[in-house]
Parts: sequence; C-alpha cells; structure tokens
Amino acid sequence: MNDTNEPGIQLCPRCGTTAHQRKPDALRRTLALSIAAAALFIPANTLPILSVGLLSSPEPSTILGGVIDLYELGSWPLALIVFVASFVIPMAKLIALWVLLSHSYNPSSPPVKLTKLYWLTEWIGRWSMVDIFVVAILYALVQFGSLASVEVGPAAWCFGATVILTMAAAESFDPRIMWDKYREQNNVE
Amino acid sequence: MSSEQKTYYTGLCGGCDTVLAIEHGRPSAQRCPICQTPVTSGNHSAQTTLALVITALVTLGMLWSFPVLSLSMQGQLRPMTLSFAIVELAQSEERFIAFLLALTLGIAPALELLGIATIVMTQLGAKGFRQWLFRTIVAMRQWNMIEVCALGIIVAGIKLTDYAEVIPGIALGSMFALLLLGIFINNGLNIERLARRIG
Repeated sequence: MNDTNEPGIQLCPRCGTTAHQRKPDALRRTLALSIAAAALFIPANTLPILSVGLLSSPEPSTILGGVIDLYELGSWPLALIVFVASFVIPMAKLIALWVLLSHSYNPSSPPVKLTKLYWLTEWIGRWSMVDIFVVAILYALVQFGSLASVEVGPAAWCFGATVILTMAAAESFDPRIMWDKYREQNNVE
Repeated sequence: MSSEQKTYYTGLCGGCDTVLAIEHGRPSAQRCPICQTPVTSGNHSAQTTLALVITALVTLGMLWSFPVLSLSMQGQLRPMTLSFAIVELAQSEERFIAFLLALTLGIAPALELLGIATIVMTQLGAKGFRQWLFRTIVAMRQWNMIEVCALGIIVAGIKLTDYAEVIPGIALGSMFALLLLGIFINNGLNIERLARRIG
C-alpha cells in the first residue's frame, strides 16, 4: 500500500483507490439512503408520472395506472414486467436492505444466504429504471401539437431519485460486516 | 489446460473476506467456498476484449446517430434519436430525466468502453491517469443501462401502437447489438488482468 500525506490513509499501488478495511460508515449510510428512498417511493407511486393526450385532452396516470393500461391493451406479459420492475423490485430491494442491516448487527447463523441476497439486490436494482426510460421516450416521441402530447409528471423525478438512492444504498452496504459480526460472536476465525 | 499450466493469484473474497487462491482465466465461475460469491472474472485475451470493445464503440456511435423509433400520426412523421430526446427533455425543464438518460446511455457506456480500450491497447497517459481510467471503468459498470432502456423502448412502442404507427429505427438494432456485446464483454473481461495493464 502507498502512504498518502493524510495520516492513516493508504492507496492501492495498482489502481490508486483509497484502501479501507471495510466500506466507511457502511451501515449508517445504507440506512440513511434506504430511508430517503422509501420516503420518495410514496410520492413516486401516488403522484402522476405521465400525462398522455392522444387525440384527446391529457390524462394523468400513475406508475400502477400505466401497468393497468398495458394490461387493458392486452400486453399482460409486459404489464407484469413493468409491475415487477417499477413496483415490486424497488419495494423488495428496500425490504432486503433492511433485512441485511438488521442481520448485520446480530447474525445468528453463517450469513451465506444473506450474502447471496446482497449480490442479487445489488444486481437487480437497475431494472427499476425502465419506467424512467418509458417516460423519456414517450415524451420525446409524442409531441404533435394539439393532436397528441405527453407531459412528464412529478412522480418521474421522485421515482428516478428512488432508483438512484436504492442503488447507492446497496453500493454503500458491505456484506463482509455480517461475516465480521458472525465470526466475532461465534469465535470463528 | 493441464494442471501444470494453471496459474493462481491470491485474492480476497468480496463477500466474506476469505483469502483465496484464484485461478487465472478459469472458464467457469469460481465461487468462494464459504459464502458462494463468484470470485473470478472472464478469460478473454486482450485481443478478444479489444475487438469486442471497438465493435461496441462503433455500435454506440450508431445508437446515438440514427433514430431509435419514429412515430407516424395523421400523415406526420416524427423520428426520435437519443440526442434529440435529451435536448427535448432538457429544454422542457426535465433536466434530471435528461441527465439520467445521458448518464446511463451515453456517458457511462462510452467511458467504460474507451477506458478499457485505452488500458488494453495503449500505454497512453501517466500512471495516475490510467489509474483514474481503471477506477472509472469499475464505477461506470453499474450505470450502463442499455439493456434496461431496450425494455423501456419495447414498452413505450407497445403503448403507442393503438394510436399511431411505430416504426423501429436503425438505432434500435444497434441497441440490441450493444446489449449482446455488453453480455460478451462483461462475461469475458478479466478485471484483475486489466488492472495489471495499468502500468
């Protein structure tokens, strides 16, 4: 490790990353970011994400309203995918992060399944961004003056921030802390 | 490969910190025996990685240059390129959404691909710059969301089919090609081997 001018801080000699034994303030950062994400998830699902006016006046719709629209159009597989990506995944991710946090303080058994849950949580979160892409594409594509128009609602901002915050929360978490606690409590090397 | 030719390096498991002997270029994923976290990366040679990355860069250029979708409604045709979508969103005060689009479909994939190409192909730049490039590659990987956008385009297209004619553009093909290239690059890229090329 390379020493820096600041005492106690070392850099990886190969890639220059600041070396930490564990991610700094992992549990507190994960908790703070996940609470912020949960707070934004409520307006993201109750406020309109999109107002679509196709040969009619603009009608605001929420994320779940968009899922119902897709189902009524006969595209139930896509409706299911959007429902899972936009509602189930962010919700499940928040619950998974809180489960991981609670076990980080008091793991009763080797956290093998929880480590797997962490990697799954980290990988799957990005798929929630699908609704943001739908909004952006519809907005850019459907601008035909009085004939057809799309307006972006306040929920788009909230939902985008929710996805970013949950991704940041998962990134802040360090699964090795669960193993540290387990080894400490069970005197395992 | 015979057992005599196998080479190993010592590494720590990212899941539980167990010290492991990790096999270089192992074709199938090696897992930590304690927590089952995958610990190896791919076995592509520098030449294979470079070929895939350059192809992906050209495809990314096409994705940004040609229309992704066009909408035909009552005799009017509206093509949509990604750059056009970002400008439209930014001009209508939806700058946060425009930024997300630019980051996930442009900045992140371009930095990741250019960083890999620079480190693999050249000895360009001081060591500090190459270290920054490597850290950027690692940081940008989770923000590259081309596959998620491809799903978003399918959903948006289906939502509009009842009201207008949706015409797929050249960039949509580029997007699906990039999706496949991304899978090949990520599965084959050996991060440890890439780090050794920093200098």
